[in-house]
Amino acid sequence: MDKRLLFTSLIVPLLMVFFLVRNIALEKSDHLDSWMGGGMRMFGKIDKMLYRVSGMTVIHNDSTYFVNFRNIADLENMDMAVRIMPSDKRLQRLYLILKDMDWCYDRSKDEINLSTPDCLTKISPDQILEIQVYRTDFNDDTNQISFKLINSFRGEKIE
Amino acid sequence: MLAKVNRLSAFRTPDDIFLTCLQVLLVIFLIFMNDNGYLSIFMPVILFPGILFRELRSNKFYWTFILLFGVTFYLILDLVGYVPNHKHIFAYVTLAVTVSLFLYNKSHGLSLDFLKSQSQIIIGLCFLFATIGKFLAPEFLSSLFFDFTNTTDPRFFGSTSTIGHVDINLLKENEATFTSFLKSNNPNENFVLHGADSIKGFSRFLTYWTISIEGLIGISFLIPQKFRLSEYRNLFLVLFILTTYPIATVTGFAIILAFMGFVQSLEDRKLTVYSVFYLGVLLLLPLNSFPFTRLYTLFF
Repeated sequence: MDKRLLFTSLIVPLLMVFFLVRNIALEKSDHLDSWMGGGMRMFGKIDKMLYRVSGMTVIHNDSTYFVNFRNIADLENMDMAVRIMPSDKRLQRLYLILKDMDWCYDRSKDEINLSTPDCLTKISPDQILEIQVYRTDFNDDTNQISFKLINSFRGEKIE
Repeated sequence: MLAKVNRLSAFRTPDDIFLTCLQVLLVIFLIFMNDNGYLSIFMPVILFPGILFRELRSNKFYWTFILLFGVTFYLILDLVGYVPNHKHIFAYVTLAVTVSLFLYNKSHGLSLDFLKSQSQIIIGLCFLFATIGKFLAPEFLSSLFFDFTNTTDPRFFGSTSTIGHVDINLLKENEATFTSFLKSNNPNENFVLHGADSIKGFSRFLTYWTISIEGLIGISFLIPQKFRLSEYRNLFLVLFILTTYPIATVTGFAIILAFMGFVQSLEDRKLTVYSVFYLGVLLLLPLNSFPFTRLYTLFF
Protein backbone atom coordinates (compact mmCIF):
# COMPACT_ATOMS: atom_id res chain seq x y z
CA MET A 1 0.00 0.00 0.00
CA ASP A 2 1.47 3.35 -0.95
CA LYS A 3 1.99 6.03 1.69
CA ARG A 4 -0.69 8.35 0.29
CA LEU A 5 -3.34 5.63 0.40
CA LEU A 6 -2.24 4.51 3.86
CA PHE A 7 -2.45 8.06 5.19
CA THR A 8 -5.87 8.73 3.68
CA SER A 9 -7.17 5.37 4.91
CA LEU A 10 -6.24 6.35 8.45
CA ILE A 11 -8.03 9.73 8.55
CA VAL A 12 -11.47 8.38 9.52
CA PRO A 13 -10.26 5.73 12.02
CA LEU A 14 -8.01 8.28 13.75
CA LEU A 15 -10.89 10.74 13.97
CA MET A 16 -13.06 8.03 15.51
CA VAL A 17 -10.39 7.18 18.08
CA PHE A 18 -10.01 10.89 18.88
CA PHE A 19 -13.73 11.23 19.58
CA LEU A 20 -13.74 8.12 21.80
CA VAL A 21 -10.79 9.42 23.84
CA ARG A 22 -12.39 12.87 24.08
CA ASN A 23 -15.68 11.27 25.16
CA ILE A 24 -14.00 9.34 27.99
CA ALA A 25 -11.92 12.35 29.09
CA LEU A 26 -14.84 14.81 29.08
CA GLU A 27 -17.06 12.31 30.87
CA LYS A 28 -14.55 12.22 33.72
CA SER A 29 -13.66 15.92 33.78
CA ASP A 30 -16.86 17.74 32.74
CA HIS A 31 -19.63 15.17 33.31
CA LEU A 32 -20.30 14.67 29.59
CA ASP A 33 -23.15 12.28 28.89
CA SER A 34 -21.35 9.08 27.88
CA TRP A 35 -23.83 8.55 25.02
CA MET A 36 -22.87 11.85 23.40
CA GLY A 37 -19.81 13.31 21.72
CA GLY A 38 -19.29 10.55 19.16
CA GLY A 39 -17.82 8.04 21.60
CA MET A 40 -20.06 5.35 20.03
CA ARG A 41 -20.50 3.80 23.48
CA MET A 42 -24.27 3.55 23.04
CA PHE A 43 -26.12 1.14 25.39
CA GLY A 44 -24.16 1.29 28.61
CA LYS A 45 -24.98 3.83 31.27
CA ILE A 46 -28.42 4.73 32.58
CA ASP A 47 -27.21 8.30 32.96
CA LYS A 48 -27.87 10.12 29.71
CA MET A 49 -28.91 13.65 28.92
CA LEU A 50 -32.46 12.57 28.12
CA TYR A 51 -32.77 11.40 31.73
CA ARG A 52 -30.97 14.37 33.28
CA VAL A 53 -32.66 17.34 34.85
CA SER A 54 -31.23 20.83 35.05
CA GLY A 55 -32.70 23.65 37.05
CA MET A 56 -32.08 26.44 39.51
CA THR A 57 -32.91 27.01 43.13
CA VAL A 58 -34.56 30.25 44.16
CA ILE A 59 -35.07 31.57 47.68
CA HIS A 60 -38.44 33.18 48.20
CA ASN A 61 -40.37 33.81 51.44
CA ASP A 62 -37.86 31.69 53.40
CA SER A 63 -38.58 28.72 51.14
CA THR A 64 -36.34 27.18 48.49
CA TYR A 65 -37.96 26.59 45.11
CA PHE A 66 -36.55 24.45 42.30
CA VAL A 67 -37.21 25.54 38.71
CA ASN A 68 -36.92 22.64 36.27
CA PHE A 69 -35.63 24.07 32.98
CA ARG A 70 -37.57 21.45 31.01
CA ASN A 71 -40.65 23.48 31.87
CA ILE A 72 -39.19 26.76 30.57
CA ALA A 73 -39.52 26.78 26.78
CA ASP A 74 -37.24 29.82 26.39
CA LEU A 75 -34.36 27.86 27.93
CA GLU A 76 -34.73 24.77 25.73
CA ASN A 77 -31.35 25.03 23.99
CA MET A 78 -29.42 26.01 27.12
CA ASP A 79 -31.15 23.31 29.14
CA MET A 80 -30.06 20.75 26.56
CA ALA A 81 -26.48 22.05 26.49
CA VAL A 82 -26.05 21.79 30.27
CA ARG A 83 -27.68 18.38 30.36
CA ILE A 84 -25.28 17.13 27.67
CA MET A 85 -22.24 18.48 29.53
CA PRO A 86 -22.80 20.27 32.84
CA SER A 87 -19.28 21.65 33.10
CA ASP A 88 -18.48 24.51 35.51
CA LYS A 89 -17.96 26.78 32.53
CA ARG A 90 -21.37 26.07 31.01
CA LEU A 91 -23.14 26.43 34.35
CA GLN A 92 -21.37 29.74 35.00
CA ARG A 93 -22.41 31.06 31.58
CA LEU A 94 -26.02 29.99 32.14
CA TYR A 95 -26.03 31.46 35.64
CA LEU A 96 -25.32 34.93 34.24
CA ILE A 97 -28.05 34.53 31.62
CA LEU A 98 -30.57 33.46 34.26
CA LYS A 99 -29.75 36.51 36.37
CA ASP A 100 -30.57 38.72 33.40
CA MET A 101 -33.98 37.12 32.87
CA ASP A 102 -37.18 38.24 34.56
CA TRP A 103 -38.63 35.70 36.97
CA CYS A 104 -41.88 35.70 38.83
CA TYR A 105 -43.45 33.90 41.78
CA ASP A 106 -46.77 32.34 40.77
CA ARG A 107 -48.85 32.23 43.92
CA SER A 108 -51.63 30.03 42.45
CA LYS A 109 -49.17 27.27 41.53
CA ASP A 110 -46.66 28.05 44.29
CA GLU A 111 -43.80 27.95 41.81
CA ILE A 112 -41.30 30.22 40.09
CA ASN A 113 -41.76 30.87 36.39
CA LEU A 114 -40.70 33.31 33.71
CA SER A 115 -42.23 36.69 34.29
CA THR A 116 -45.30 37.83 32.36
CA PRO A 117 -46.74 41.38 32.16
CA ASP A 118 -49.33 40.51 34.83
CA CYS A 119 -46.75 39.22 37.32
CA LEU A 120 -47.51 40.33 40.87
CA THR A 121 -44.41 39.10 42.71
CA LYS A 122 -41.18 39.63 40.80
CA ILE A 123 -38.09 37.65 41.73
CA SER A 124 -34.91 39.67 42.06
CA PRO A 125 -31.63 38.29 40.63
CA ASP A 126 -30.25 38.04 44.18
CA GLN A 127 -32.85 35.41 45.00
CA ILE A 128 -31.40 33.03 42.40
CA LEU A 129 -29.19 30.76 44.43
CA GLU A 130 -27.73 27.90 42.44
CA ILE A 131 -27.86 26.00 39.16
CA GLN A 132 -28.09 22.24 39.63
CA VAL A 133 -27.90 19.31 37.23
CA TYR A 134 -29.17 15.92 38.33
CA ARG A 135 -29.00 12.49 36.80
CA THR A 136 -31.51 9.68 37.14
CA ASP A 137 -30.44 7.06 39.63
CA PHE A 138 -31.92 3.56 39.77
CA ASN A 139 -31.56 1.41 42.88
CA ASP A 140 -31.90 -2.21 41.85
CA ASP A 141 -32.54 -3.44 45.42
CA THR A 142 -35.52 -1.19 46.07
CA ASN A 143 -36.47 -0.54 42.41
CA GLN A 144 -36.54 3.13 43.34
CA ILE A 145 -35.81 5.88 40.86
CA SER A 146 -34.52 9.16 42.24
CA PHE A 147 -32.32 12.10 41.29
CA LYS A 148 -28.63 12.35 42.09
CA LEU A 149 -26.75 15.64 41.85
CA ILE A 150 -24.01 15.70 39.19
CA ASN A 151 -22.82 19.31 39.35
CA SER A 152 -23.96 22.65 40.68
CA PHE A 153 -22.88 26.28 40.48
CA ARG A 154 -23.33 29.15 42.93
CA GLY A 155 -22.71 32.76 42.02
CA GLU A 156 -19.91 33.18 44.53
CA LYS A 157 -17.68 31.02 42.33
CA ILE A 158 -17.58 33.74 39.65
CA GLU A 159 -14.18 35.42 39.61
CA MET B 1 -31.58 -14.34 -8.35
CA LEU B 2 -28.26 -12.72 -7.44
CA ALA B 3 -27.25 -12.67 -11.10
CA LYS B 4 -30.51 -10.93 -11.96
CA VAL B 5 -29.94 -8.28 -9.28
CA ASN B 6 -26.42 -7.70 -10.57
CA ARG B 7 -27.84 -7.10 -14.05
CA LEU B 8 -30.12 -4.31 -12.82
CA SER B 9 -29.11 -0.94 -14.23
CA ALA B 10 -28.29 0.34 -10.74
CA PHE B 11 -25.68 -2.38 -10.17
CA ARG B 12 -24.44 -3.41 -13.65
CA THR B 13 -20.94 -1.91 -13.51
CA PRO B 14 -18.70 -0.66 -10.65
CA ASP B 15 -19.52 2.86 -11.84
CA ASP B 16 -23.24 2.14 -11.51
CA ILE B 17 -22.81 0.62 -8.05
CA PHE B 18 -20.69 3.52 -6.81
CA LEU B 19 -23.12 6.13 -8.13
CA THR B 20 -26.09 4.20 -6.72
CA CYS B 21 -24.34 4.12 -3.34
CA LEU B 22 -23.85 7.87 -3.46
CA GLN B 23 -27.46 8.36 -4.48
CA VAL B 24 -28.69 6.23 -1.56
CA LEU B 25 -26.41 8.15 0.79
CA LEU B 26 -27.79 11.48 -0.41
CA VAL B 27 -31.34 10.22 0.13
CA ILE B 28 -30.41 9.15 3.67
CA PHE B 29 -28.96 12.61 4.31
CA LEU B 30 -32.05 14.25 2.85
CA ILE B 31 -34.22 12.35 5.32
CA PHE B 32 -32.04 12.65 8.40
CA MET B 33 -29.85 15.76 8.12
CA ASN B 34 -32.45 18.16 9.48
CA ASP B 35 -31.30 18.61 13.08
CA ASN B 36 -31.51 22.39 13.14
CA GLY B 37 -32.80 25.37 11.16
CA TYR B 38 -29.68 25.71 9.01
CA LEU B 39 -29.64 22.06 7.96
CA SER B 40 -33.41 21.91 7.43
CA ILE B 41 -33.22 24.84 5.05
CA PHE B 42 -29.96 24.23 3.20
CA MET B 43 -29.62 20.45 2.95
CA PRO B 44 -32.64 19.81 0.68
CA VAL B 45 -31.41 22.56 -1.67
CA ILE B 46 -27.92 21.03 -1.73
CA LEU B 47 -28.93 17.37 -1.81
CA PHE B 48 -31.74 17.29 -4.37
CA PRO B 49 -29.58 18.18 -7.39
CA GLY B 50 -27.07 15.49 -6.41
CA ILE B 51 -29.81 12.89 -6.18
CA LEU B 52 -31.03 13.83 -9.65
CA PHE B 53 -27.79 14.37 -11.59
CA ARG B 54 -25.04 11.73 -11.85
CA GLU B 55 -22.39 14.25 -12.87
CA LEU B 56 -22.91 16.34 -9.77
CA ARG B 57 -23.16 13.27 -7.54
CA SER B 58 -19.65 12.20 -8.50
CA ASN B 59 -18.12 15.66 -8.18
CA LYS B 60 -15.52 15.90 -5.42
CA PHE B 61 -16.20 19.59 -4.74
CA TYR B 62 -19.91 18.88 -4.34
CA TRP B 63 -19.04 16.33 -1.63
CA THR B 64 -16.59 18.74 -0.03
CA PHE B 65 -19.47 21.19 0.30
CA ILE B 66 -21.68 18.56 1.97
CA LEU B 67 -18.73 17.58 4.16
CA LEU B 68 -18.45 21.18 5.41
CA PHE B 69 -21.98 20.97 6.79
CA GLY B 70 -21.42 17.51 8.27
CA VAL B 71 -18.14 18.47 9.95
CA THR B 72 -19.49 21.78 11.29
CA PHE B 73 -22.71 20.49 12.81
CA TYR B 74 -21.77 16.91 13.67
CA LEU B 75 -18.09 17.03 14.60
CA ILE B 76 -17.34 20.61 15.69
CA LEU B 77 -20.63 21.70 17.29
CA ASP B 78 -21.47 18.21 18.49
CA LEU B 79 -21.54 19.08 22.19
CA VAL B 80 -23.75 22.14 21.82
CA GLY B 81 -26.97 20.49 20.68
CA TYR B 82 -28.31 16.97 20.55
CA VAL B 83 -26.06 15.09 18.13
CA PRO B 84 -26.52 11.32 18.46
CA ASN B 85 -23.70 8.95 17.53
CA HIS B 86 -25.04 8.07 14.10
CA LYS B 87 -24.73 11.72 13.05
CA HIS B 88 -20.99 11.42 13.64
CA ILE B 89 -21.08 8.41 11.33
CA PHE B 90 -22.82 10.54 8.69
CA ALA B 91 -19.82 12.88 8.82
CA TYR B 92 -17.31 9.99 8.70
CA VAL B 93 -19.00 8.41 5.67
CA THR B 94 -19.15 11.79 3.90
CA LEU B 95 -15.45 12.22 4.63
CA ALA B 96 -14.70 8.75 3.24
CA VAL B 97 -16.66 9.50 0.05
CA THR B 98 -14.91 12.86 -0.39
CA VAL B 99 -11.46 11.35 0.14
CA SER B 100 -12.25 8.53 -2.30
CA LEU B 101 -13.24 11.05 -4.98
CA PHE B 102 -10.11 13.14 -4.43
CA LEU B 103 -7.93 10.03 -4.49
CA TYR B 104 -9.32 8.38 -7.59
CA ASN B 105 -11.16 11.19 -9.39
CA LYS B 106 -13.13 9.43 -12.16
CA SER B 107 -12.09 5.83 -11.41
CA HIS B 108 -15.28 4.90 -9.62
CA GLY B 109 -14.30 1.27 -9.23
CA LEU B 110 -11.30 2.28 -7.11
CA SER B 111 -13.40 4.82 -5.20
CA LEU B 112 -15.86 2.01 -4.48
CA ASP B 113 -13.03 -0.21 -3.15
CA PHE B 114 -11.87 2.61 -0.87
CA LEU B 115 -15.41 3.24 0.40
CA LYS B 116 -15.80 -0.49 0.99
CA SER B 117 -12.71 -0.72 3.19
CA GLN B 118 -13.64 2.49 5.05
CA SER B 119 -17.17 1.19 5.69
CA GLN B 120 -15.74 -2.01 7.13
CA ILE B 121 -13.41 -0.06 9.45
CA ILE B 122 -16.16 2.34 10.59
CA ILE B 123 -18.51 -0.55 11.44
CA GLY B 124 -15.70 -2.40 13.22
CA LEU B 125 -14.65 0.60 15.31
CA CYS B 126 -18.27 1.51 16.15
CA PHE B 127 -18.91 -1.90 17.62
CA LEU B 128 -15.51 -2.13 19.26
CA PHE B 129 -16.11 1.22 21.00
CA ALA B 130 -19.62 0.12 21.98
CA THR B 131 -18.10 -2.99 23.58
CA ILE B 132 -15.42 -0.95 25.38
CA GLY B 133 -18.19 1.41 26.55
CA LYS B 134 -20.02 -1.48 28.16
CA PHE B 135 -16.95 -2.43 30.18
CA LEU B 136 -16.76 1.19 31.34
CA ALA B 137 -20.33 1.01 32.65
CA PRO B 138 -20.63 -1.13 35.81
CA GLU B 139 -24.43 -0.87 35.72
CA PHE B 140 -24.43 -2.50 32.29
CA LEU B 141 -22.26 -5.42 33.39
CA SER B 142 -24.51 -6.01 36.42
CA SER B 143 -27.64 -6.06 34.16
CA LEU B 144 -29.00 -3.02 35.98
CA PHE B 145 -29.13 -1.10 32.71
CA PHE B 146 -31.53 -3.59 31.14
CA ASP B 147 -33.62 -3.92 34.34
CA PHE B 148 -34.16 -0.18 34.03
CA THR B 149 -34.53 0.03 30.24
CA ASN B 150 -36.88 -2.97 29.91
CA THR B 151 -39.33 -1.33 32.31
CA THR B 152 -39.09 2.35 31.30
CA ASP B 153 -38.43 2.38 27.56
CA PRO B 154 -41.68 1.73 25.63
CA ARG B 155 -39.73 0.07 22.79
CA PHE B 156 -39.03 -2.83 25.13
CA PHE B 157 -42.49 -3.14 26.67
CA GLY B 158 -43.67 -5.81 24.23
CA SER B 159 -40.79 -8.18 25.03
CA THR B 160 -40.86 -7.34 28.76
CA SER B 161 -44.56 -8.04 29.12
CA THR B 162 -44.31 -11.26 27.08
CA ILE B 163 -41.17 -12.71 28.63
CA GLY B 164 -41.45 -11.30 32.15
CA HIS B 165 -45.25 -11.69 32.35
CA VAL B 166 -45.49 -8.08 33.45
CA ASP B 167 -48.83 -6.34 32.93
CA ILE B 168 -48.28 -3.91 30.04
CA ASN B 169 -50.45 -1.32 31.83
CA LEU B 170 -47.96 -1.28 34.71
CA LEU B 171 -45.16 -0.65 32.22
CA LYS B 172 -47.14 2.18 30.66
CA GLU B 173 -47.63 3.56 34.15
CA ASN B 174 -43.82 3.44 34.62
CA GLU B 175 -43.40 5.41 31.42
CA ALA B 176 -45.94 8.05 32.40
CA THR B 177 -44.54 8.42 35.92
CA PHE B 178 -40.99 8.68 34.59
CA THR B 179 -42.01 11.35 32.08
CA SER B 180 -43.62 13.52 34.75
CA PHE B 181 -40.72 12.75 37.14
CA LEU B 182 -38.31 14.34 34.64
CA LYS B 183 -40.45 17.50 34.60
CA SER B 184 -40.73 17.64 38.37
CA ASN B 185 -39.94 20.80 40.31
CA ASN B 186 -38.87 18.71 43.27
CA PRO B 187 -35.40 17.14 42.97
CA ASN B 188 -36.06 15.04 46.08
CA GLU B 189 -38.90 13.19 44.40
CA ASN B 190 -38.68 9.43 43.78
CA PHE B 191 -40.87 6.56 42.66
CA VAL B 192 -40.80 2.78 42.51
CA LEU B 193 -40.51 1.05 39.15
CA HIS B 194 -42.95 -1.81 38.47
CA GLY B 195 -41.81 -5.10 37.01
CA ALA B 196 -38.02 -4.77 37.30
CA ASP B 197 -37.85 -7.86 39.57
CA SER B 198 -39.73 -10.02 37.05
CA ILE B 199 -37.30 -9.60 34.19
CA LYS B 200 -33.92 -10.06 35.85
CA GLY B 201 -33.16 -13.26 33.92
CA PHE B 202 -34.11 -11.64 30.61
CA SER B 203 -32.01 -8.57 31.46
CA ARG B 204 -29.01 -10.79 32.20
CA PHE B 205 -29.49 -12.59 28.88
CA LEU B 206 -29.73 -9.28 27.00
CA THR B 207 -26.57 -8.04 28.73
CA TYR B 208 -24.50 -11.07 27.74
CA TRP B 209 -26.02 -11.19 24.27
CA THR B 210 -25.31 -7.51 23.57
CA ILE B 211 -21.71 -7.69 24.72
CA SER B 212 -21.09 -10.92 22.78
CA ILE B 213 -22.63 -9.87 19.48
CA GLU B 214 -21.18 -6.35 19.52
CA GLY B 215 -17.76 -7.68 20.51
CA LEU B 216 -17.86 -10.29 17.75
CA ILE B 217 -18.86 -7.70 15.15
CA GLY B 218 -16.12 -5.32 16.31
CA ILE B 219 -13.40 -7.94 16.15
CA SER B 220 -14.53 -9.69 12.97
CA PHE B 221 -14.74 -6.41 11.04
CA LEU B 222 -11.32 -5.21 12.15
CA ILE B 223 -9.12 -8.29 11.97
CA PRO B 224 -7.34 -9.08 8.68
CA GLN B 225 -9.17 -11.33 6.23
CA LYS B 226 -6.67 -14.15 6.73
CA PHE B 227 -8.37 -14.91 10.06
CA ARG B 228 -11.35 -17.24 9.76
CA LEU B 229 -13.51 -15.12 12.10
CA SER B 230 -13.45 -12.35 9.51
CA GLU B 231 -15.45 -14.56 7.11
CA TYR B 232 -18.39 -14.54 9.53
CA ARG B 233 -18.55 -10.78 9.97
CA ASN B 234 -21.65 -10.33 7.82
CA LEU B 235 -23.40 -13.17 9.59
CA PHE B 236 -22.81 -11.45 12.95
CA LEU B 237 -24.01 -8.10 11.61
CA VAL B 238 -27.14 -9.64 10.07
CA LEU B 239 -27.84 -11.37 13.40
CA PHE B 240 -27.38 -8.07 15.22
CA ILE B 241 -29.74 -6.22 12.87
CA LEU B 242 -32.40 -8.95 13.04
CA THR B 243 -32.30 -9.17 16.84
CA THR B 244 -31.96 -5.48 17.59
CA TYR B 245 -33.94 -3.27 15.27
CA PRO B 246 -37.38 -4.90 15.52
CA ILE B 247 -37.16 -3.94 19.25
CA ALA B 248 -34.71 -1.08 19.78
CA THR B 249 -35.73 1.11 16.88
CA VAL B 250 -33.03 3.65 16.13
CA THR B 251 -33.78 4.27 12.47
CA GLY B 252 -30.98 6.78 11.84
CA PHE B 253 -28.30 4.43 13.11
CA ALA B 254 -29.88 1.37 11.47
CA ILE B 255 -30.05 3.02 8.05
CA ILE B 256 -26.43 4.19 7.96
CA LEU B 257 -25.35 0.81 9.32
CA ALA B 258 -27.31 -0.95 6.55
CA PHE B 259 -25.73 1.38 4.01
CA MET B 260 -22.19 0.66 5.20
CA GLY B 261 -23.07 -3.02 5.50
CA PHE B 262 -24.16 -2.97 1.85
CA VAL B 263 -20.96 -1.30 0.62
CA GLN B 264 -18.55 -3.49 2.59
CA SER B 265 -20.32 -6.72 1.59
CA LEU B 266 -19.65 -6.23 -2.14
CA GLU B 267 -17.24 -8.74 -3.62
CA ASP B 268 -15.28 -8.08 -6.80
CA ARG B 269 -17.45 -4.95 -7.10
CA LYS B 270 -20.57 -7.10 -7.36
CA LEU B 271 -23.50 -7.66 -5.03
CA THR B 272 -23.51 -10.67 -2.71
CA VAL B 273 -26.36 -12.32 -0.81
CA TYR B 274 -25.47 -10.10 2.15
CA SER B 275 -25.54 -6.98 -0.02
CA VAL B 276 -29.08 -7.88 -1.06
CA PHE B 277 -30.02 -8.39 2.60
CA TYR B 278 -28.64 -4.96 3.61
CA LEU B 279 -30.41 -3.42 0.64
CA GLY B 280 -33.62 -5.07 1.85
CA VAL B 281 -33.03 -3.60 5.32
CA LEU B 282 -32.57 -0.16 3.78
CA LEU B 283 -35.87 -0.50 1.92
CA LEU B 284 -37.81 -2.04 4.80
CA LEU B 285 -36.60 0.26 7.56
CA PRO B 286 -39.77 2.37 7.54
CA LEU B 287 -41.44 -0.74 9.03
CA ASN B 288 -39.34 -0.04 12.12
CA SER B 289 -42.18 1.96 13.57
CA PHE B 290 -44.45 -1.08 13.30
CA PRO B 291 -45.12 -2.44 16.84
CA PHE B 292 -44.14 -6.07 16.15
CA THR B 293 -43.84 -7.19 19.76
CA ARG B 294 -47.03 -5.47 20.83
CA LEU B 295 -48.83 -7.11 17.93
CA TYR B 296 -47.43 -10.46 19.05
CA THR B 297 -48.82 -9.94 22.55
CA LEU B 298 -52.19 -9.10 21.05
CA PHE B 299 -52.50 -12.50 19.37
CA PHE B 300 -50.59 -14.82 21.71
